[in-house]
Amino acid sequence: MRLQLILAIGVMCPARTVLADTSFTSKLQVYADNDHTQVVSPVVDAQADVHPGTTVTLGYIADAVTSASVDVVSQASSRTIHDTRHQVSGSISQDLGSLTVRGGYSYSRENDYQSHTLSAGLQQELFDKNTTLALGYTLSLNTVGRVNDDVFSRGLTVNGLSASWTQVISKRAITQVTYELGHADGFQASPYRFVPVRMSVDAAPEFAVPETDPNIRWRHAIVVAANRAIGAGSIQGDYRLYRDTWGITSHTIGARYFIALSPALELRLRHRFYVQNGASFYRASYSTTSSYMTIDRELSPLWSETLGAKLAYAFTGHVEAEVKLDLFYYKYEDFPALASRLGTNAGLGVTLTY
Amino acid sequence: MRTALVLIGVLLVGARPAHAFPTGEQFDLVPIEEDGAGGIAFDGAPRWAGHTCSVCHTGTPGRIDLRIEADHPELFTDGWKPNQQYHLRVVLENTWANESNRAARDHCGFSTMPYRPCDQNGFALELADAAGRPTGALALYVGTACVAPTAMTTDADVRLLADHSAVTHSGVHMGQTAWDLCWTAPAAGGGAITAYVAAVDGNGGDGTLAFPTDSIGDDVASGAVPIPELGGERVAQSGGCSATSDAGGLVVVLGVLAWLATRRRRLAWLLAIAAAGGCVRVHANQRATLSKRSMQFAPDPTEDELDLHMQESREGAAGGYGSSGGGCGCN
Repeated sequence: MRLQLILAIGVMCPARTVLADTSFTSKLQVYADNDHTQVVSPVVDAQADVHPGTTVTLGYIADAVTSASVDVVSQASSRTIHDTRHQVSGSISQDLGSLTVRGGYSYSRENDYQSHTLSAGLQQELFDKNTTLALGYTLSLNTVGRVNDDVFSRGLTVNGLSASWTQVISKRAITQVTYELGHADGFQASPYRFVPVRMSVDAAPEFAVPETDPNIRWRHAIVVAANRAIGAGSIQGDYRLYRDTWGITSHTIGARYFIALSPALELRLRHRFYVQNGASFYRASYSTTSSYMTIDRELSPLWSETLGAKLAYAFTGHVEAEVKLDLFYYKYEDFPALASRLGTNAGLGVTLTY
Repeated sequence: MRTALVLIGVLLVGARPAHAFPTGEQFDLVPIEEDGAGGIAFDGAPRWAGHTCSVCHTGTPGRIDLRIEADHPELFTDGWKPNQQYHLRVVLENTWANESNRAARDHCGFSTMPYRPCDQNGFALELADAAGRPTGALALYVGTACVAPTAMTTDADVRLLADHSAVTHSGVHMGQTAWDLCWTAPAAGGGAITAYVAAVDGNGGDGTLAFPTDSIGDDVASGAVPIPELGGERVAQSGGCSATSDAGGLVVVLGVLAWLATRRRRLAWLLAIAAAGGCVRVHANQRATLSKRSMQFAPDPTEDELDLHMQESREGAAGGYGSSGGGCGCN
């Protein structure tokens, strides 16, 4: 009897469950670039199921910044600044059958900036959990100050609305589409940055005026993402198209590759490419004043590449450690003070789950 | 002193790894008294609540694949023919556990010095109708023919459960990655049938005489193959949109999304969600791969928040990837 090959079937691959009832994560991330900026960020996060279907998370992040970047050197009175941002956050989610309701709050504070953020979300599972629709809303109330200036205080209110559709395509593939609408109303410039006005590019400044951005900014972002299992690992890809009312259009392409080197050791490789044009009111130099004036390099035409690797090792079913290193490069196409920025983002972390 | 020794003894016994089912007979044995499966095939069928070998063989990396072959190609394409006997083969692919001892075949285990762990793999399969009841008749495949199990067929690679409702490995031979069996389709009118199959790529226990088989460090695969009745209504393979592959399903979704940009968007969204959700049904017990961290869109939210905060303070764009936290990040 001759056998003929007929059909290959998809395979289920039982694996470690990632989410646990209770987990504690501690990470330390160190950022450094050749623009003389270093940021040390310790993080602790805890998550617990306090009641069947009820999950509570608490978190703390600090950013200890030391910077003598071109922004700081050219604009601030002190040539090197030190600042620390502290952020505490908490959230609670409740499963109500196929519907999950979530609420959260975070507060962050640094020398010249305070932020209160409220968030709420709904997630509905459909079609035997093969389709998930989610809605989210975020309100951020910010107060912008200026160091050594008790009088300066500006408000910034940011509203964010997001909708996502996650779709299982097969036992080994899943896709997601996310749209996010953002609306910012208030002070969005730097309180320290002054824009020089000069008769020609090489001339000495005649005078300088405070940086002025439009008070209103609408942002639109749509992200299409897909994950596909490859063997015991996976490959992930995403693309984001972004536009805002300041005239910026950007494209972001991300790729991540998870490789199971052994049942306990996982390697993640990633690549990210980002490109944007400049804001409609951005100029590398100004020869006259106008309604909106900025020399913010983040609003200039730029592109960046990021390459990274992370190793995660599960010592036991309860303890996992990780180490990562990202290398990034920013190229500023129309920013005379700085042509490029090269830096690293290194991190260590440990997660305990019970 | 005596108390301490007793305590250590209890702890050691408690830490003993669970035995697997190296022989087919164990599937029929009583669970507690005889370390058996109590007649449960663990092949993922509905009557076993979808349970597969992964119930006990946990923490598996999921690197192996599984395939079913048949002597009549039309079985999986056109459907099963009433009363037709089929020669089926279950094949494990991409096996890796205890691979170095595969070539030794049966020259392994207690009879070898030094001890060589056996490459002992296994499988379970049953065919069930739409109500989840086993259907058709299973038989052994010995030599070149289908035969009913008798006392003379002790050397067969597969074994039927005592009630003949499922077939498993016999455990007679080692180093096996394929098992042959026979199945005779039921009489006409049986409707759609599904083949439920699960398999284990064993790693030879803990590599010592103490535990030649256990449920730790192995790999598991399982799946369900729908088979229509010849001339009857077609059914979709679980885990995929009918007539499309992964890429095809993605194209459907992306195509509809492209249409969204130019047409009546509200209607398009509703159609897209209904179409995608309606044609793709991956059941809960088939989502082991999807539940992996490496398949999550935000596998490490803490890291994502740090990265987003850095990126959004250095780029003009923001949004679409989740929360980046509060604060300025102006430096």
